[in-house]
Amino acid sequence: MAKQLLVYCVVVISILVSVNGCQNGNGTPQDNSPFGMQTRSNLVSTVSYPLYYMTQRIAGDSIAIELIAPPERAPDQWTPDQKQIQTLQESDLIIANGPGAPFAQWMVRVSLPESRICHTTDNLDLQDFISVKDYRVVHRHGPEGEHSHPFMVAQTWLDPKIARKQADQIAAALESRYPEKAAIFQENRQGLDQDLDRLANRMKSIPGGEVLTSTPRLKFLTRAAGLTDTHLLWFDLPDKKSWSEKGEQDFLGRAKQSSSKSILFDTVPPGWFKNRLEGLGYQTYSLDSFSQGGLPEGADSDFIRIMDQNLETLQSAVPQ
Amino acid sequence: MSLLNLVLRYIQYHKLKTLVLIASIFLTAFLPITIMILLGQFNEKIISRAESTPMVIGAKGSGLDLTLHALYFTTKRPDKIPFATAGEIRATGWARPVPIYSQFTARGFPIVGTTLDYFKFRNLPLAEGQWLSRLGDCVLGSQIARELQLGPGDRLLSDPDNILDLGGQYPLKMLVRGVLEPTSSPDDWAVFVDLKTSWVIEGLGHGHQNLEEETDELKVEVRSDGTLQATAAVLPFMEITDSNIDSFHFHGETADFPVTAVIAVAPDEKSETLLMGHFQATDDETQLVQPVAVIEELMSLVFQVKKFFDLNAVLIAIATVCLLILVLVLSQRLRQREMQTMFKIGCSRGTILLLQVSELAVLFLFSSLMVAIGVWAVWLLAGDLVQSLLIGSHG
Repeated sequence: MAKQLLVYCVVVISILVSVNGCQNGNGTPQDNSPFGMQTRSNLVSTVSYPLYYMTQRIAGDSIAIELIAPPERAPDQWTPDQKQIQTLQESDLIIANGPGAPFAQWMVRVSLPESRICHTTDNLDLQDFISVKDYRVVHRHGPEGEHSHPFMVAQTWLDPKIARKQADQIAAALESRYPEKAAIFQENRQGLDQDLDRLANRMKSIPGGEVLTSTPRLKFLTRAAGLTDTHLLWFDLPDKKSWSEKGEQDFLGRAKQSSSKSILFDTVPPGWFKNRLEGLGYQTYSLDSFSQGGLPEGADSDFIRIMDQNLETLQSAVPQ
Repeated sequence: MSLLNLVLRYIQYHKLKTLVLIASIFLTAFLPITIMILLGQFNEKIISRAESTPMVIGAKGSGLDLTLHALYFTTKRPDKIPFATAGEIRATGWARPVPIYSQFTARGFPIVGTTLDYFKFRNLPLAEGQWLSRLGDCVLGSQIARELQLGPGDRLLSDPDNILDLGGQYPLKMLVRGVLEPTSSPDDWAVFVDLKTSWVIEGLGHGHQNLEEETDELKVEVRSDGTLQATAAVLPFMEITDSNIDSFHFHGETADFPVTAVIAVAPDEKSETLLMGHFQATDDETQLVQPVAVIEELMSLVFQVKKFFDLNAVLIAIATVCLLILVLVLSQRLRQREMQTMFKIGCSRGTILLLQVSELAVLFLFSSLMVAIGVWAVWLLAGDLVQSLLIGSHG
């Protein structure tokens, strides 16, 4: 019996030692660094073409730049797919506009690493932003009762001076993330600054006056050019089927608030609409607000060239 | 027959007496050791969690409530502060903010709204599935996934705010996107969602059908000024899917939206001090607490109380020893004839003494063995037990 007792004791002690030993071996490895899992992918994502362009001009070939946007539509009613979300989550930086001028509305529907988002409008003054009242849908649900959606104009890059402030933010974010490449960024930056300054100077040659626009999206451009702008429509252009006589009367009623007979569109208006407006004595002009998500068409087309074209069109639309 | 055999035979014969003696010794030793282990584990866990959370910013009020909420997502929620506080911290450049909004539950477990930075901050590895991708996604702590038998691709419904409030918030059916590795921390018992998803549950964001295309007069009224007004018949979507996610939007400035705490992670002591000074000097609505200081204060109180337990244990031990001596003395008297018989058959007085000492030694050995097994069991279970005490009863 004494032998049995001894064997029992040895077995129990062995089990105790071995189980404790196993437990220590399987412990979760601890990493006390606050952002220990943060990696550097040398990838920067941008959410609009102008931001993509400015980032690429500053970074040159030193970093991979990705544009996350729908190719041929506005990003308002769009959400990136799983692969694009993964790209965003793996990026060292996500270059976006910011809450005062939210261009990529899908960002509120996607989980992003907040600490890596660069809000390029953070350094803008309050008066730099443009807010437009919603004049259509009012609805009621949620805790705040009846409400509509006010609209903060997002196309900040149409004002070259604001675009330059955004470039400042992009450069600062890149330098902070990749300090070893700061010299490259500063050198590249000079060329972009010169181009934006040239655009800003060109704006000064546009005579002041009134202008009609199809959408509030062009307000940064018209304000930078010193023009008084009345927008006649909201985001979408009407289709022929839904265009009613009452709709036309409302449209003309708003148009008559301005003395201008030039209507600026941020896209090419449909033929029937253009003909109808011209029949009513209005001239239509097409500009590009970079509201469509993708890269511009044409190999030699870029942000600065398109802005130059915009200014040429604007000059021809405003009576000298 | 050897001496040890005689001892074991005696113990076997006097089972009840032996059991009472072993139980007395076992309880006297086991209880204080157990308390010591549990308290040690409690201290270790709560301090290590606090140490890994340098600073917490929240509404003015109880610093302990705020700390426990930020560390353990306790149901006693502090007042809300605006999300802009996180922006304010980021703008100082002294620390990175990790916001937390834990206001709702799913099947009784806390839903923790945060950003992806939280997982990096806590160094939480993913066991299966993917990280949060978009609105409506959730990542489960390992214990919740095990308890609810849920994995990537499954759905989890948030609990309604108040089941008696028919006009209250609609529950949200969330998609389980991933499951975290076990970490023996409160993160094992939390349902993580994007901060924006928690605001959707709150009702600050929603998705609904396109009203401009709606022709049902029960759902949309056209006002005299030509605007459209949605009626109460327009219900927000309760599940976020590929087909309706594009319609989800928020009302108001996200900067004004609520969070219950913001963890601030400073790169060095200087930045930490500057941020503390910033909040002490400029803000009347919020407070900055250092969890380590708060928890150490709490633990110093706990250890004060423990001194009474220690004194109690010493008194019980003394009482038990007295009881043992009494039992042995009485037993000695009862065994007087047995000892004389042994002496007469040739046992020396030394052998008889050795026999009695051996009986006691075996009793102590058995008791010690039981204490060792008990302590080992407590040691194994203490982590989970303390964890469940800290995060409240979820199971």
